Amino acid sequence: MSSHPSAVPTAAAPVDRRSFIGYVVKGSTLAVALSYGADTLGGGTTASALAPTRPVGEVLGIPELADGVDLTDLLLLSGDPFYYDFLIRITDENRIRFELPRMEVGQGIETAAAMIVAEELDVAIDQIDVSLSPAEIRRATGQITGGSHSVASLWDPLRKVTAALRALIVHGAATRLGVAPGQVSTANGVATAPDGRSVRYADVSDGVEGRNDLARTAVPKDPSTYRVIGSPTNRIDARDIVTGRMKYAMDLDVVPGALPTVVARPPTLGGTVRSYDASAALSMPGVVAACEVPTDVEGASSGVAVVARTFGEAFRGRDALRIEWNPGTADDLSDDDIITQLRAINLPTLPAVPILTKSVSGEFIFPYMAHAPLETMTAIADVSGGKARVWTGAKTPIAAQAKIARDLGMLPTDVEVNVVKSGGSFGRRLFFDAAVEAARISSIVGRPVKLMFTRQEDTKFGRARPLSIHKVQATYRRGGLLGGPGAVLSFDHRAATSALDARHGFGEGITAFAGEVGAFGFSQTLWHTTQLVQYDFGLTSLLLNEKEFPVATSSWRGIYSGTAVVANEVIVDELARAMGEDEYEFRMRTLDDDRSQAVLRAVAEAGGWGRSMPRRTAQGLGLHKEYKSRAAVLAEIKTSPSAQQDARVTKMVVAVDVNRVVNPTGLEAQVIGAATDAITTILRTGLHLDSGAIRESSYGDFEIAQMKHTPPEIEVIFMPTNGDRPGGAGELVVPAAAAAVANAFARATGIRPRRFPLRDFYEEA
Amino acid sequence: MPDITFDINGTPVTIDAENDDALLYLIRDRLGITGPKYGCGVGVCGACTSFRGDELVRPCIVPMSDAAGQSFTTIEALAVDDVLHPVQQAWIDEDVAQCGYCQAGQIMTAVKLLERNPNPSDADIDEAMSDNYCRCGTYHRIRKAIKRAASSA
Repeated sequence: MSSHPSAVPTAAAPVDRRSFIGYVVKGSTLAVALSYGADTLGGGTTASALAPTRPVGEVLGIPELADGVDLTDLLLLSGDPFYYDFLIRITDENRIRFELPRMEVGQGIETAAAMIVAEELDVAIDQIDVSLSPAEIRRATGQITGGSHSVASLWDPLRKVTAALRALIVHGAATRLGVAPGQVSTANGVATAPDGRSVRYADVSDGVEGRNDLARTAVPKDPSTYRVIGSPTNRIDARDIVTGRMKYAMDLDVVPGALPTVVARPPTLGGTVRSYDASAALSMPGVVAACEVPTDVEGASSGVAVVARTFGEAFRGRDALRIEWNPGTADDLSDDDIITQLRAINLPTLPAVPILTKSVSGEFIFPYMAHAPLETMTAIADVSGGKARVWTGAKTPIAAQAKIARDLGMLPTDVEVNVVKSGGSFGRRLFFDAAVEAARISSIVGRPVKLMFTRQEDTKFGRARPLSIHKVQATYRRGGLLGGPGAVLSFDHRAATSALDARHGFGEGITAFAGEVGAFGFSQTLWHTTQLVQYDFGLTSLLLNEKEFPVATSSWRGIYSGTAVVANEVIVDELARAMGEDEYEFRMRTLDDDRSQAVLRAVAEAGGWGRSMPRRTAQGLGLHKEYKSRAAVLAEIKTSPSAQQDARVTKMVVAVDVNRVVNPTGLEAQVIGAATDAITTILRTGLHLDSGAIRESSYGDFEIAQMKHTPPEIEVIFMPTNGDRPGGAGELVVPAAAAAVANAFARATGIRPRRFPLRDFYEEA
Repeated sequence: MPDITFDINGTPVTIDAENDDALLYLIRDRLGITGPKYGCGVGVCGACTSFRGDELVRPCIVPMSDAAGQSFTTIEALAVDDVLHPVQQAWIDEDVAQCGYCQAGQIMTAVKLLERNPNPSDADIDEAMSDNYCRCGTYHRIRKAIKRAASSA
């Protein structure tokens, strides 16, 4: 790939956003490179409009920073200087080749992005071929997929760039057709004059190269004219998927001679190789190489690798290795030890309550949680001749490139990281452990390799959502006695978690910018920009403390909210009952947010809140606000009087407000998927650490939701469009759905849900 | 290493393999048939689900000694001459897939469900489909697609 030098911000020098933002449009027939300031593109929001309106000091004085500046703001601000860098080509066949600087893991961002391109360029969606951009250092913090910000961060830049491209096409076509630009109409990749003469986009180039003035004045379409954005659109890769043609990393045949590779891992976390004998393994059929993989400086991997003709042969070779292991780094640790240590560091809640107030409180415990994507961590690596080439599913490919370069002693520019569509992430692919390890093995054995973590490795030696404990305490005054309704006087949340590893590049942009909003580290920034209480609960404070344990972690869909918000919402239900109020009416009365009230009302009405239900069944509510969006869930559960039969969520009604829906079909899929995660995490499963080893190994014992655990009935409601820029959606529903399931369980059984997954601790689950 | 002969997607194949090699790795790594995916390697997740003759099998736990002389069909051969099987079409129409990694196995399992039960109830779908894991949570649309394919037959 090449690009016009003046259009390319470099990571080496500080970038002046106003002078360097640019984009590249390149192709055999239409080749244009422009550079200009983002704010000359006309209309729409620029980064300065996103900045907090309140002075920083004032913002910091408020316990819930997320009310003023949230994670979405930080992601958009930190990436904004780099978001305008797209590669779009118009081919001789009049197809649009669009390279997306994000990662597709099933969330549908390729399809949503293609819809935006189709809308602004006036082409059909099936005229667009989307590929994923390899790591491009110049994109800095602008090539990250995470934190549910992909659609929000593409929204303005992609619309403006494609609107500019269409303006160039229109002017080129006008010249060719001998009419005024205003007389040219465009559709399906063809520009047409009033008399019907037409020209394909691919054939337009005269007179438009370098016409920056045209691009500067181009304005994206008025949303009232949208024909693609907002219309239900199926995935652009659906046919490839159902025919088995879709290529994931291990299906690629990009490097001749890249052979299947697996790694023997130690018995416990952090264990290292003392000595090994590979002679038996090397004599097995198909085995071609074996090597020790040194301990990763960042703790991700160690063991002995076996390279063979097939994965089956590599497994057999691995099993024939004779390895002496050194002890691990967590051999004295089990879940209970970690819980004890986290209790010790958890900050105290506010001191004793005044006379005449009562309180509701609870301590909640959530286990380590594997991400468990169906495709395990995989990577192809070819390290030779002073260069490294890697193919992997990385959500932070630039960080992967830097890490591999550091590891191999190369320059990042000598490391090519190709981003491959992957079989799920849920936070797991923020890290690129397999890519680093594959490159290391390739450089040691001197041949290209295809490295795959087995399911067992992925579960036992992968990464996990941090184990966390949450003490929540609310004080209140009952109504009636002194007249009027009761009031909540204070709400305290103290979380202590196994530290969240953020050394994946996601944090770099945020912490760089966070210097301007407060002297926080990454985890504290993440916590304070995502956690808030959206009820009028008097004095509220939400605080995090964390402690490093030798268990590898990574954000799990929902980041902190998948646990913290569940604890809050369970206490909200208990508060309502303690104050003698209905859980729904209590929320509506105390909410200080119209949009949250609206989604809650929507699920209560559609789901028939309060309807009479048989014994051991109940409804439950959950509510969440994050990523500039809102979600409410009403879940119905059927519990069992004994452990004979699992509790089942029988129905879910979900309402979301994401400001603007780009693809209703894709959004509904994200909503339902996130709701399913709630069943997995609240009812069904979690990891257990036993003396330094993760007990679970595969789906047989890490028991994610199956068809038979999911509700036959799910209703998804989208609130009307109420803003221009779409809010985040991918993680939005996890906390609300998890809370709704926990609250439904509590109302069905009378048990206060405190430790998860529920069926490990309560017979009725 | 013995030569083992079997049929895959209508083509006879002879390949040198150990009797206890699992079929999945032979077809993926040596024959380049990559539709069946590795998800667990122990027959639990269903991502490699294919047909042996008329039956569902999980190639990750089919030893080559059991594969000899048998006929296998993978997702790649479900569509005939590029005409999709009605279940594949239903999967597209309901936009079932998210990451897509498990879907070959889901589709193959659904095809056999509908062959033996053209009009499955929710309970039948629970029973037939629960041993195919989907981490993205596409079960709701899988259920709808199965019903759509049933009503279009």
